[in-house]
Amino acid sequence: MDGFEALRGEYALDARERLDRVEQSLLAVETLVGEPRDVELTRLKAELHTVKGNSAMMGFTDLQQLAHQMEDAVLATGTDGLDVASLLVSVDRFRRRVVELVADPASSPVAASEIAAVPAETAEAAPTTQTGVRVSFAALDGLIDLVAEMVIERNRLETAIAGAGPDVHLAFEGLERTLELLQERVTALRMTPLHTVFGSLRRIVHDEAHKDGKDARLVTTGGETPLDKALLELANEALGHLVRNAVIHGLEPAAARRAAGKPETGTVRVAAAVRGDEVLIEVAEDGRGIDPEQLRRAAAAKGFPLAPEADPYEVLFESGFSTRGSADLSAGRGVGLAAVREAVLRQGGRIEVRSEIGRGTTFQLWLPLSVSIARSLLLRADDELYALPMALVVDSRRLRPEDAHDVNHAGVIRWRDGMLPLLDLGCHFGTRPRRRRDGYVVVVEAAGKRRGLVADRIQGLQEVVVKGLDPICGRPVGVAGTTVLGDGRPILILDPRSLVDAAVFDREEM
Amino acid sequence: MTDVLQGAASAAPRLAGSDRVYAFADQVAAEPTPSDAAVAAAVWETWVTCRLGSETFAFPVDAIQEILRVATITRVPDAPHPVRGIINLRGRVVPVVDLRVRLGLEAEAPGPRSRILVASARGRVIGLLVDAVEQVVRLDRNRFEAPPADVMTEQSAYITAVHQRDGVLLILLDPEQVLIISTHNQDLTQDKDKAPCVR
Amino acid sequence: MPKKVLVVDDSILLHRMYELALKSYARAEIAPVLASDGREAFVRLQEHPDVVLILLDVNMPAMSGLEFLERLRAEPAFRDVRVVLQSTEDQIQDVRRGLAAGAVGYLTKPFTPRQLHQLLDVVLV
Repeated sequence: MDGFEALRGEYALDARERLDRVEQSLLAVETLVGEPRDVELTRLKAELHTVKGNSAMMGFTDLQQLAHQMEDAVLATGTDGLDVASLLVSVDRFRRRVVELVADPASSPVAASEIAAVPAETAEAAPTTQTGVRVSFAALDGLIDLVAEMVIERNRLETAIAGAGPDVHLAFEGLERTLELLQERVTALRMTPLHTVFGSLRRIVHDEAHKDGKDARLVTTGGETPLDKALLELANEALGHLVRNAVIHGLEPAAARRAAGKPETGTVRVAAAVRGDEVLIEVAEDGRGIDPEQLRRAAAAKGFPLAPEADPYEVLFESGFSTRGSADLSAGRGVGLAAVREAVLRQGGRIEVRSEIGRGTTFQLWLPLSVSIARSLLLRADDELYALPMALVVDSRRLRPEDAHDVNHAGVIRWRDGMLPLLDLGCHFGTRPRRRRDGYVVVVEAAGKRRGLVADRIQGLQEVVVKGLDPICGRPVGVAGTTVLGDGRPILILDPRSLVDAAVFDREEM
Repeated sequence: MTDVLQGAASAAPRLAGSDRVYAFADQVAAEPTPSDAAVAAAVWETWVTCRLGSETFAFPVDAIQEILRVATITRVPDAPHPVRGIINLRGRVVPVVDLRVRLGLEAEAPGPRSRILVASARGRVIGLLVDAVEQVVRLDRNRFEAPPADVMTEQSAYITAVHQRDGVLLILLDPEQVLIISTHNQDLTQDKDKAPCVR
Repeated sequence: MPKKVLVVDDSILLHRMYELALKSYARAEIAPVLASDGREAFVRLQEHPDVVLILLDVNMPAMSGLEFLERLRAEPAFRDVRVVLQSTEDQIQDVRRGLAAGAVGYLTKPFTPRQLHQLLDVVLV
């Protein structure tokens, strides 16, 4: 064999990661002095050196030369400035060239100077992945499906071994534990830590501050917060937008900040954390804050005067209210907070804003922790259909009038070795006044509690795409979301977690 | 007057294979030309009129994305009273607000001319259930009047203005305000459709 | 019986490259064993005591290639394993020190699979 042609993909992955680190180092070096700066410069040199070597190994002489030039620029730095700006341009050129090389295997080396310089935004904005294997969403979902199948089989097995000896049960328990672990790991595969998004935000703050003649820095926390990979692009877009806004509209120029007694360097703080089954990402700046009166005036000027009790901040999300110069930034892809909010809502998230004049503004981006396709049972109860995700389903069986007993005004049945409290779905959701005596019971388990959900019948088992429920509908207990069936009907997705706790009697008090 | 108040629903051609009914902006009925010089200073705006009972309301055309026939609305339990449920709009789950209830009128079952106005406001998409969609009209903003004091209550912030037109009072609505459903609007927390459950 | 060759390099890309090049060697079947730094290399050597050749990157940040080499030489079990250094053209001082510490040869980056094969012709037992 001649060379390492077959490894273009791996080279690209490696190069992308290293270039990201180079970029981060360049941005960091700008703000450091003394020893920390030297450490960063050394890191920078080492990365560029490796990139140069790798490019040479692949026979990409143009990239080898470009890396060499960059390395020289860093080596030539004395105690005074490193030309970070032009090195960043080189990073972008490098990235673009890597993309070209991977896309077109036949492309051959050009002179380093010929590698086109393009604005960073239009360069392939693939989310940075860690070193490793790339797997398509379809393949991942397939894995998740298989695991869901295993859950069903496990349930069947559990019933089948009911009369068997202790060693069989022991073996079963072992299998159960392994299955749980497998479920966890496979679901976790869809997650990626948010710091992969934070990296690009740093660059945005740097570039925008430069363009606007302001002094700004980005502080991030919660980089390890996981995000479903399917939401990565959305998070990138939304956060990019919010951060850009923060620098352009939020932060004041240095002179104004000085006059206000604030540090000259504006701070944009991005903080992420898991809150329940959502991820909260806050983008906060210590800038001028938003004057609600100004918003009202702007709304009135556009012909939409606000009522006195209306929330003025909603004006920010008004379609006509786009950010300055956003056309060139987003390359026509979707401008204005309105579009961002719509995209976020569609994925089951939301954006909120708080502000204090003179102190700053905080945007809160809420995203679902996971976007999923859930294998679900379709349950019919009184002319309504519900989807119940299989993940927490433990058992299902016919319900006959003689099976159920009333204990303390609640229905119960004998199940396995104990009594299982029932919850009639019709009663819970208000479609019938009394629990039905005939039908099907589906046993769910969550947080160590079990409940038998009673329905008319089990209509089927199918994959459903989990969608959100618009907040205008309130937050009904026992509803996790919505989905659309094959025939076009929208139905509710049940939330076993809240159903195991739901009171049986809440409808009795009227 | 009846020639002007043609139902857009019956006049508009149906798209093959879909039950969407579009109100076309080019079917805009023009204002009867005023005879005085005020016409030069007119500020024209395009509005969609719809009917609830005996009242005629209107929304700015920009806020209305499309108009749907009423198909399956899946009920959402415990939703605030004006929320009828959810519908499927090309894969997207959209809530439907009964405009009658929202505006304080008595709820009624949808009739053959009932439609859902798909409104886009505050960055969200929400359906508004109305008794009928009339047409798209061009109105002169200069002729808008403040709503009569007895019509306005603290909850009527959604009324932008009123407009007399050929003897009909058009009540002009603000879609963003209509979509604010808070717990102090009417008795929203009680889902009247729900049968109370007894042991 | 395939011959085990240990690759010590901090770059996953280089691992892939070495694997490709070693597996395409015609004169003998080679089973590559991979490590990302000196510490991991020692672990691999415990797992595979029959490693016959080590390809060692001089350029590693954690435990430098030279440190590794010195520790290796101090272990009687591994004293006879052949080590080839992998370096870049400006690291000639390190290469000299490595050769003095017992390495049997060196390979400079960039190298082609063919060049690696030529080296293997000479050093592989």
